[in-house]
Amino acid sequence: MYSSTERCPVGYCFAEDESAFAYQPPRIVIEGRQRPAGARAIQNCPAVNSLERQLIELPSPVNLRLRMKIAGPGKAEIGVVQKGTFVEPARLQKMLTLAPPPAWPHPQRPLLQLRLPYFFVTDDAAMASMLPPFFTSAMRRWPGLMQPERWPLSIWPQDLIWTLEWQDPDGELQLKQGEPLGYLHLEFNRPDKRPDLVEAALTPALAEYRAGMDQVEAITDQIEEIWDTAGTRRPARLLTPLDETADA
Amino acid sequence: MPDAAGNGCAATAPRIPVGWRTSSPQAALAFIPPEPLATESGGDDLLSRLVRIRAPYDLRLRVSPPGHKPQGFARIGKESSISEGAFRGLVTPIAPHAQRRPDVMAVQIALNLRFITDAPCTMELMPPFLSANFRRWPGPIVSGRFPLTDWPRPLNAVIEWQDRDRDLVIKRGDDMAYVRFHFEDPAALPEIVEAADTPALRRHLARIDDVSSVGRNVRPMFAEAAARRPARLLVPKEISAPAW
Repeated sequence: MYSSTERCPVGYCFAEDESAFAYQPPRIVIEGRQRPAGARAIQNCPAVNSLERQLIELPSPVNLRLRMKIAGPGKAEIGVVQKGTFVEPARLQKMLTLAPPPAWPHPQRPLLQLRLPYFFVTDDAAMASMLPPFFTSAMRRWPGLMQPERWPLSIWPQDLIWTLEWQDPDGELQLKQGEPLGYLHLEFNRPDKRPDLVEAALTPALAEYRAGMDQVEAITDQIEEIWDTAGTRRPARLLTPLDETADA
Repeated sequence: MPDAAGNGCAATAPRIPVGWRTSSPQAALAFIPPEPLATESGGDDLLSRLVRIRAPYDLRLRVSPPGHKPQGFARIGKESSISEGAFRGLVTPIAPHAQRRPDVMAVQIALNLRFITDAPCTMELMPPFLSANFRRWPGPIVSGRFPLTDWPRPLNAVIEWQDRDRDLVIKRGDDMAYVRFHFEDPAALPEIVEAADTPALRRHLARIDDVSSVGRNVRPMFAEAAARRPARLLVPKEISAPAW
C-alpha cells in the first residue's frame, strides 16, 4: 500500500473555449512544493506526500475584490471594489452571483457563488469533495466560510461552484488570479490509486451527458435517485484527453 | 462505478466501527471524545464523514519574531489553563532542518489520541477547516494520509506558523483537527467508539511507536506491521455507570 503505483487519469475541461487561455489549469498540490531542507523535513513524510498527491488545487479564474452590502434579513448586494478587480463587469456578472436567500444558512449571511471555468471528468470509480484551501494563508482572511461538498464524480462531472458563506458584514474578500480557491479531494476504490491530471476534450458524448445533468434541480430534488439513474445511462467513456483529439 | 445509492444518505449508510484511545491514561478523562461534525439526523453527507478532535485545555501559544535566534515558543500563562508541566509534555518544537520552509517555524502539539480499526481503512488528518476559530490560527497543521488498519499511530497537530504575528489561541472545546476515514465502500460511515486496552493492542502499538526515530523509510514497516498484525485490535470498551 502507498507505493502509489496506479495512476488514474482525471480530466479537467474548460466548459467554454472562449478566453480559456486566460485561466490557469488546476494542479496537484504536491507539484507546487519547495525542496526539502533535509532528510527529516516535512516534505519527506510519507503520510504528508500521500495526502498531497490526492489534493488538486482549484486556481481562482480572476482577480477580485468584493464587499457585501447587507441591508436586512435576506437582503444583500455584492459591492465590487474596482481597485483590485480586473475582470470586466459584464463578464463578472456571468460568473458571480448571490444564491437565492432561502438557500442561505442564516438570513444575515449571504451565499456568494463563483462559477469556475473548468470541471472534472474521469472514467475511474471516484468520489470527489470540494474543500477549503486549508494550507493557504489567504483563506484565513476570507470574510466567511467556503461551503464544502462531496459527490460521485464518475457519474457526475458537474460545473464547480465555489460558494462562500459571508459571515463578517464589514469584511472584504480578495481573490488573486491563480491562487487556490479550494481543493478537489479524490477518493478512488483502492487507497494506492492517485490522480493523474490531463486536459480533457469536451467531446459530443460528454457535452450530451452534461446537458442531461443540467437543470435537473428544476425537475426534482431527489438527487440521489438521479445519481442512480445516471449510473445506468452513462456512456462507457467520458474522458478523452485533449492530446488524443488532434483530428477531432 | 461507485454505488451512488446511499451516498448522501447518512441514515442508511453502513457503519464501520472505529475505536479511539488516548495515548496516555493520565488525565484521560479531561480529553474530549472525538465525534463527527454532524450526527446521523444531521443529514449532510460530508459533515458526517469529518470527525473533530477537540482541545481539552485553554492555551495561548506565541512564537519568537522572525529572525530571532534561536527560534522559540512560549505559553502565555494568563490565558492558558494547561500547566507548564503538562504543556512541556505535549508541545515540542520541530527542528529547523525538518521544517517545510526555513522561514516557517513549526511546533508540534501531541493530540494524545489514536484511532484503531479492524476494517480496511485509510485515515486522513487535516486542519479544522470549517471551524470559525481556524481562521484566527497562525497557520495550518501538517496533514497526512496513512493506512490506519495496520498503523494506528498517535496523532499530532504540527502547526506551521505562516503568520508570525499571530498567536495560536485555543479554548477548551475548540476543534484542533479533523480526521476522515476512507473504507472500501465509499458510502460507509465511521461508528466512533472508545477502544478497550487489550494485550494484543498494547503490543502492536508499542511496535509502532517512535519507529521514525529508528528508520526513515516507513513503507517496508507498513508491510511488516500488516504481516504481523493480530487479527483483532479493536475491542469496544464496555461502558456503564450505575443508575440512580
